[in-house]
Amino acid sequence: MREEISHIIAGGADQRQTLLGSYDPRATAIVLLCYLIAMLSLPVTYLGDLVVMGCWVMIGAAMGEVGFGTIFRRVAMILPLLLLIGAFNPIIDRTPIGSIAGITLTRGWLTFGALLLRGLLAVAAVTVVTEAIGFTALCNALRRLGLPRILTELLLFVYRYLFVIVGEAEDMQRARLARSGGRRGLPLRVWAGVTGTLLVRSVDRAERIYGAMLARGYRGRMPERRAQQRWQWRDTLYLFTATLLPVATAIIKPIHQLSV
Amino acid sequence: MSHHYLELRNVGYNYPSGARALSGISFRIHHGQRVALVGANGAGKSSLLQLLCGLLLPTEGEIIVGGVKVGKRTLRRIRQTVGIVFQNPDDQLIMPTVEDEIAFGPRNMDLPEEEVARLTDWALEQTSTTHLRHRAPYTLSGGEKKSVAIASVLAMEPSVVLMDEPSASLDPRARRLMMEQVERFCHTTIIASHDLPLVERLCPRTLILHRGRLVADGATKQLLGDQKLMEECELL
Repeated sequence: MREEISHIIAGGADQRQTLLGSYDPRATAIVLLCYLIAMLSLPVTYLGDLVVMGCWVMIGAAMGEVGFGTIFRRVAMILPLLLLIGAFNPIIDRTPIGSIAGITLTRGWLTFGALLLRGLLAVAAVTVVTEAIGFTALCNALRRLGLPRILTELLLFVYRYLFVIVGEAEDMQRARLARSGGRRGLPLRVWAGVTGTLLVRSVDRAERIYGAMLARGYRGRMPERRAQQRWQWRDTLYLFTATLLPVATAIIKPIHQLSV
Repeated sequence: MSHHYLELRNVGYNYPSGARALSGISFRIHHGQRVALVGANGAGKSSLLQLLCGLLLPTEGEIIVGGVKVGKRTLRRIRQTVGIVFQNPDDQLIMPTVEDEIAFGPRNMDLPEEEVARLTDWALEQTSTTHLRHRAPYTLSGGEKKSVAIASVLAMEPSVVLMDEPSASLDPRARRLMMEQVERFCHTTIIASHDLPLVERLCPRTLILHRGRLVADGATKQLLGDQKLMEECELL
């Protein structure tokens, strides 16, 4: 997990070595936002159109040379959360909407599937972009697009704090395993103490990192290269093409039109 | 400016909890001197290093670096003058690539990008890490991380370099390479360490801390050879 998050933070080290990475990060940030809005604006029952939206992620992955293994690993990280959020839909909404091979399909199952698919597509799209241009470049692009600096700095710090907390959790897990005598899991009563210790350890570590940053002249803003990439005509072309496709899918809803 | 580059006058520090960390510390260090700070665990070595670079402020006494008193108003100047290499390089390496890591300090100093590039190249060369330039710091070995951490401090061109346990968790080869790097320093250097052979090789002068107090200041060979003193200070 620590390796994975370190990799996410370090993403973009090879920026501009791929087709997707060669475009101005601002264009990619706009494309990502448009894609997310278009995809999330589709009605929950339009599962087929969501699948089409998945094709755009695959094209992006090919342009950014992002392996499907990487996407699956990131998606797997968020999957338990999505399952937890949508788990009650099939129980609450049992309105039948059709049947497949004799099994009645309820609206709850459909919305559960849509929620799952949307979540996975959103994570996959963000993964493709962060892998291709790097999270730091994405945040810098958002700032250059007008997002207040305090928000982008906050995003970067939350990201780094995530790394710190996962690192400490892994160290604690290793220490536990080394003395667990083969026993799996922790008794429930121990969890509260362990969680508290994890928080204290990660805050302590975060303070050490902050101290090291202060010692190297940090004054509340992350430094960035002054020579920024310039917007070129190919960025405009890429922006229009890459934005048009998901937006058109959201408006035309091709699969839904076909089925109707 | 004082001819003593670094001067502590009766410095004391209390932790926020009120516990006493350091008291009555006074010493002077000249330009270019390499000094060891030796003491048992909890003696106050790390706290003293953090006071010297302005990460902590003394609760008593005063610290003067290059004629400038360490205080809230002078912190920016002090942090440009005094660089610190932390014990655990993982606490220090935060940027996506080694190059960005080394440029972090110079960019914070608002230097022009050409100057940042020059300092980065120079620091990479000084620490023999040029080949690591485009690597992500988290993929490096312990020794490489330490070298990059040192480079990231050298790139700020500090007059004083502080090193906290520089040989901690380094294998023999990485330790030897690190020592060779330090021997090339022309900076005023303070090394806090338990590694007595390292101290003996690198530092002609040693300060011994015991329970927050400075108990000895003198020639390294003489102090480290004083069996009684070393035992009293829980170093043997």
